[in-house]
Formats: sequence, structure tokens, C-alpha cells
Amino acid sequence: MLHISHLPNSRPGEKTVLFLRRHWVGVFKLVAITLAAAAAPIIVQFMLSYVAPGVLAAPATDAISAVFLSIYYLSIITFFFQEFIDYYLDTWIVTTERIINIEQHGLFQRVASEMHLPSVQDSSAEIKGALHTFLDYGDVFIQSAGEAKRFHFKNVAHPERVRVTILRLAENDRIREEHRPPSHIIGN
Amino acid sequence: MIPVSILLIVFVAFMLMVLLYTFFNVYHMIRFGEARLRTVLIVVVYLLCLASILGWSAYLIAQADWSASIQIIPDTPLLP
Repeated sequence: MLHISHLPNSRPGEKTVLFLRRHWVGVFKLVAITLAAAAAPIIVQFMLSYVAPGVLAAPATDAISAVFLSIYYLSIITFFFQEFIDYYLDTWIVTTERIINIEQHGLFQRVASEMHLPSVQDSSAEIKGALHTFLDYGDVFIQSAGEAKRFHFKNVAHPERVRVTILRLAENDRIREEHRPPSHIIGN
Repeated sequence: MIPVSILLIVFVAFMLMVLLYTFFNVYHMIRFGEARLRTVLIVVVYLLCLASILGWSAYLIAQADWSASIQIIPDTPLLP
């Protein structure tokens, strides 16, 4: 399991400042879709009882609908949990030393990458859309020096605050590095 | 005419696939999830929901009449 206070390869004195996931709106949409899908067979059965009641009275209908409904609801719950895991395991961790980007893509693909704070060159926050504006969530992009790839925090809460925090931490880390005494001293 | 009970084979095959998916999903949550009670609770709630659906499926299947058959090709008279 991932221990926030004991991240892998952590430096002495390193503290976690931000632990981010996508905004809860994503989970809300997933729950809404799942509930709608779960209600669909009930609605279909209700309509069939009025439109074609003979279909429901057929001898094999009980058995066929038992198997169909079982497969259908098992599929729904499996799909829901799979998508929820995709949301839950996508995390962005900002510490006093680095930024860790962990993304789960499907069942068997997981990408984890790090960016050390002194190499952060630029950070931008993007909020697009009415819902994003009202609920204050959006994307944050972190650009490092000399790398084509950049980190993309997707649909995180308070993106502007995240952006400012990262830039502040990067600046503090640069100042700390400048004032750090040299690790080796050549004697006379 | 094919017996309806053949659908049970389909159901069992599908259920095995769901159990396999569940195993991998729970493994991912335990291995990579945040070390908090919330992670464990999410897994427990999911397993309870899955067990409930499986129990309800077993009840429906037990109630159904498996002696019925499905006619694939309808009877057509050879002579008018």
C-alpha cells in the first residue's frame, strides 16, 4: 500500500504537501451512470408488462431473464469498480522535494513518474466550462526544464491554488539548494 | 429445440471471468491504494455488493424452471 508519510525513495526531512486525486464530480457521474444502468431492466420489465405481457409469461422467460439479469448486474458492478479504481489510483503527490505522478490505465498498466522541484520551470492552471468554474476544478500542467513531457494533473480541485503551491515549493527548494553548504570541502 | 439449462454454462463462464476481474481489482487496491482505512472499507463494500448480487442471482436461478426449451427453428408445415 502507499504510505503518504513514507513514500519510496524519500529524502530525509521530506514532507508531503499535497495529495491530489481527480475531483469527486467524476465519481458522481460514474455513480449516476451505474444507477441508471441498474434501473434499466426494471423499466424495461415494466414496459413489457404493458406492451407485450405474453413475453413475460412464456415458459422459458424465467430462466432466460434470471441468467440475463445476473450477467447484466455482475457486469455493471464490475465496470463500476474498475472505473472507480481508475479514479482512486490516479494520484498526484507534491512533497517538499518532488512531484510524483501516478496513473492507472486499465487493469494491467500503471505509470509512475517523478519530477524534482528544482527542475520545475513553469506551471499553469486551466479551468474550462461552467461546472468546472462553479465547482473550482480543472487541469494543472507542470513543465520541467529540458523535457518534452510535462505532468498533467487532470480535473483536480482548486487548480490555481495547486499551481501557486507548486511554484512556491519549487522556489523555496531552489533557495534551499543555493544556501546549502557544499558537500565536499577540499582542505589546504 | 435446445434446453434452457445451456444458459447456465454461459452464466458460470461469465461468473468465473467476473471473479478473476475482482481478484485483480482487489489486488490493485491492496497493493497500490492509499494506506488508510478508507481503502479497506471500499474493498469490503465492493465485495459485499458483489456477494449480494451473486446471492440474488443464485436465488433467481433456483426459482427458474430449467426444464423448458427454446425453439430456434419454428415449425413449418411441409404441406399447405
